[in-house]
Amino acid sequence: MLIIQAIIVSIIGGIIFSIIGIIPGTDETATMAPITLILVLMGFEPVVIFAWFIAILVAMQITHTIPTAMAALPGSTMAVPMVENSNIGKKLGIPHISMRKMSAGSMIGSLIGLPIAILFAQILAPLSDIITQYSGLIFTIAACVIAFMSQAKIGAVVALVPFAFLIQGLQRISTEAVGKTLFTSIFMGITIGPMIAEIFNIMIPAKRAENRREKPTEIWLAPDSKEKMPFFPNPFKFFGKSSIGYVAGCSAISACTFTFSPVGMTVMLGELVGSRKKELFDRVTTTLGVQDAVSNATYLGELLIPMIAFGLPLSPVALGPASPLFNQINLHDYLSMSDYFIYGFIGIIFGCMFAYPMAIKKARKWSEKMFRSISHEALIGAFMGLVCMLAFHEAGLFGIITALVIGVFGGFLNNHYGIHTGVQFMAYYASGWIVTTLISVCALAI
Amino acid sequence: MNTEPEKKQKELTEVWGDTVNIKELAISIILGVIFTMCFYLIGRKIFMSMGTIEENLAKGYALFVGIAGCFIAAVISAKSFRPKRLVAELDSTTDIAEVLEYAHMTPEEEGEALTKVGSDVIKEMEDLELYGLLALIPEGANNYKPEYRELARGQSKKDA
Repeated sequence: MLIIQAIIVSIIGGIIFSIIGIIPGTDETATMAPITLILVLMGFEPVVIFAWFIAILVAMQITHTIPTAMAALPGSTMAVPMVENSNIGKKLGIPHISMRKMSAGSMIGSLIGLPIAILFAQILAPLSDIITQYSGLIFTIAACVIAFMSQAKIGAVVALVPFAFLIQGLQRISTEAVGKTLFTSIFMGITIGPMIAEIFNIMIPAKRAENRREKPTEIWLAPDSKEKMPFFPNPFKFFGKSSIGYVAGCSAISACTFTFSPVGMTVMLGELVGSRKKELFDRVTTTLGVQDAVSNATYLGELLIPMIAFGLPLSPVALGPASPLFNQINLHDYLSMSDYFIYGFIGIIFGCMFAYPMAIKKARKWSEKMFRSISHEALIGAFMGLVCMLAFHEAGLFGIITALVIGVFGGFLNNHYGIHTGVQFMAYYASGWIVTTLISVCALAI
Repeated sequence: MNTEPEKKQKELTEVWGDTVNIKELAISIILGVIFTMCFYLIGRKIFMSMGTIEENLAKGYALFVGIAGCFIAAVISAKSFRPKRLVAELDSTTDIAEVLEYAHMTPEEEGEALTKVGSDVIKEMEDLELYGLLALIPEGANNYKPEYRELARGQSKKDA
């Protein structure tokens, strides 16, 4: 009986959050936490609530790829790292393939992430303190590797230092101005950087003449694959043998992390895989698949490991979107090992029942419709509105200023020197360690 | 961001990977920001004044009101300004050199990389008719097929 109930709420939650996921820029905490809370208050059984939460998480992670792939507008904060590759995919005429790779990656991330996170919670949770201690150093090393792999090579590595100081400087100003450090505003700033730098160009007559276009862009959409697709296409089939290993491996690794932020893991593993793939098509499609797989698997890890091992909300996800599962009702006290497996998989399968086939099959049709009828001006206008609102939501007008400051500098680094936004996101995560370490080195030489 | 009034011809430029009219872009951004922010601020005011919901949650709900405003602005802009793109369905009009530059790569690097990828990747690209990229494979190298260049040329010729 409980199983049937779990299936029903998973399907309903899957549909609701598929729609919420499509809306660009939706905040997970603001949507997942309150609706989950309502379910808890309505007195649903703990196992049913667990299935529900997994279902809405999975559904949202799939549909947030739709605006990201079609228009390079991030469907949620989690999709921000995927914007750059989606933009290249769009230029290559394969936005529908981007969407498919991300959805399939997302499925793989969930299917692999769930069992691994559950098992890992049992075995290695005590070690997490040590990993957390060194996270700054780990992010800095990864940032250097990713920077060196970019086109700017050693220049990008050197640029990490001034960029880290810029970010930490802004964080300090922010602490004075609004009493806290910022995340969304800086992230949004890096994301819109390339666009801000281009708009800045328009204001400079010489640059403006240089970038003038005489005629509309011609966009081509690659044909759909000829094979007939079943109702529920096998996600593993969307990746060739040279990339499936990366997608599966990164899912497994990221499901074991619960103290890093999901966005940080997505940036780090995505860029590491991207830097190993030299060919453009391969790089774009594999990286997108890996990124959505990682964001999903990390999310599951962040939910399950604290829940199973400690029953304490120790991760960003547990503190945010999943907080009702720790505070209003502590699922830790109610679920057995087999419950986690059974109801977790029910959540995954039935949660994506609506979103996954839809994203896979309608991808090309929707892309074409969008290209023909919605102007780019409207999309950019809406995106700028969203960015302003999210930055304002975090830190008022100061948040908007921060986003623009980061946007201008980050945009120059990207557009003029090829220090892409992935390097900049990593610089954000490494900035704390870089700056504190350099300050302590400076203190030695006074 | 403003266009000189004496210039009748529409000024086009590229922003965020697509062609836009500068004046229309400026209007769209202003509309987007004003609508979204006004809706958000009004929503926040209403939810906060209700007093029954927690402050953080009230702000979260206000985001939805803001998104509604954002959506309205997008609809207005989309209705007023037509897309500046031509969707070519059959022919590849993709300017490969430009895409590669955007991705911070050179055609030589891409051609070289293409000789090293597995057959599964090549097969996928053939299915998608990405001949513009495949034509970059140097003659005689691994994965090279003479028909790629012909097919790539065919794609662009049909277009002209």
